[in-house]
Amino acid sequence: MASFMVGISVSCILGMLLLFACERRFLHLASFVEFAIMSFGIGVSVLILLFAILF
Amino acid sequence: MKKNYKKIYKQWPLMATVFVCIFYIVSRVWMYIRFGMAGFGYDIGIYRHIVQGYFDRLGDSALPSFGFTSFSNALSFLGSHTDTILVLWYLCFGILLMAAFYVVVNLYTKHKMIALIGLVLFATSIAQFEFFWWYYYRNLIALFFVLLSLILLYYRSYFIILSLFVIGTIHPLSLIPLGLVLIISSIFDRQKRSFLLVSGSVSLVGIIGLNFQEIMSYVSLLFEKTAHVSGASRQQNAELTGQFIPLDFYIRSSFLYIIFAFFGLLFYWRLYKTWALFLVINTVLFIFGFLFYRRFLIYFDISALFFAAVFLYHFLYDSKDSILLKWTAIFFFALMFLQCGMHIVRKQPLISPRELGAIQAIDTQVPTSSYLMTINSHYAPWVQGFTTRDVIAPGMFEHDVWTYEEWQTFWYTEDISKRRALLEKYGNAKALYIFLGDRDMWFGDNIAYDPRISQVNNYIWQVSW
Repeated sequence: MASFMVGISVSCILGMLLLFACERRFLHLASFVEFAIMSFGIGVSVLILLFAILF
Repeated sequence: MKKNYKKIYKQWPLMATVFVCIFYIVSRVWMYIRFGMAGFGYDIGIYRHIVQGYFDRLGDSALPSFGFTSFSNALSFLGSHTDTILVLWYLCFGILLMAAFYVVVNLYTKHKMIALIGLVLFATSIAQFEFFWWYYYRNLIALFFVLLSLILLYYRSYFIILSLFVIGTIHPLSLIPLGLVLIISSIFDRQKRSFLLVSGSVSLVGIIGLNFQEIMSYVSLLFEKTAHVSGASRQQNAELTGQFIPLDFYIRSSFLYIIFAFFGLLFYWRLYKTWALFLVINTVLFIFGFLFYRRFLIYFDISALFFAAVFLYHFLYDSKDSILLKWTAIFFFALMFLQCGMHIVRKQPLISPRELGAIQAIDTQVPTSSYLMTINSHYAPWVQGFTTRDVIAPGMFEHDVWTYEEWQTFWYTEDISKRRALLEKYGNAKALYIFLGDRDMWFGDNIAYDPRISQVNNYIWQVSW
């Protein structure tokens, strides 16, 4: 369970940082649920992209 | 009292949303709570084998390229155990699908009530439950990212490049309907054209560049087997359909809302052109039997749920003064919950927890360097995924050396010497054990008189050379 929470947290934080850096308008436009889904999805995408490049 | 009642009545959309969410979450965890890992469908064993195997050999360039492992390796690297990836993360994506669908419907219709109706239909869709239960992990992740792509498309955010990349890496098949929608949209929608061309091109370059080997294997499959399943042989047909629910089952399970979806498309396609295009493309891909065509039913169902929600909302709103229609609507939604609930409660797993437990115990009972044979391809994915032995299964994996006719001889012959001759094709350098599940016990009677095959326990037989 702990590792699952780590994975979720890393994905969401990564996604939020990217959204904050590149698409700040979502902070005003998107609802909480939208923002959460986008953060999670973008965070997971970045992890997948990273591992696709590295391995 | 009356005041409290009015207060509660005003909050009914929120209460309905909470109820639907609880129903949905329970429906997704129900089989796992009842049957454990055995509660999932066929593919969990295959994914278990892949997740473990690829992370153990991380960085090994000899391994065939498989985009899903970029996902599983990343999670393993962050410390997730194989079973955590298979269960918790799968449930996580399954539950997030519901939230993503709600968000997408709300965004495109700009109406919370349509989104709520869509949520109800999605949560009670038997097709969506079956899709989750069959354990098409890659397809499930791809569906989430398809919905995310639709969100990012709405906002014209270049993050869509990432979501398209993930779809193309994890489950390229899912990119076909969405890709076609984006291509057609770029032709007819001048405002979105440059955005779509840039994001589509960049993601395509990324997908092909980083997954070239895997993409080429799909392309060669396309040309080898023909793009249409009807061109494939009978033996390959089941696999090449995508192995999801057949059309008649889908119609029976979705008849309550499929007609509303049709009327929704008829009356409101102009307002929701992207969704209309998505539904039409998936219909065409399914009707023409495109490779793995049954999987397009999932996307067809998603877009059908969208239009059914749209139509239902407008129909109920226009007739909101009719008390009869109000009660009919309540009855309709209650029936949706009842139909789905009964389907889930009656659902039986493909393998019993006892059989799975026996498979999981094999590694402690069978020497490391042994062959483990299952005579039934039904058990093969679980035997492959939950043991670390070299698995022999009819027509599956790399160790099977028999033809279909030889398997038939092995299954049914009463001639011990013929069976012996077939077994000797595997050589006698490695010990060979046979797993028989509850479905295979008839075979135990066939080999009972073979002096060289002895029973180890209820499910394992040992072949003596």
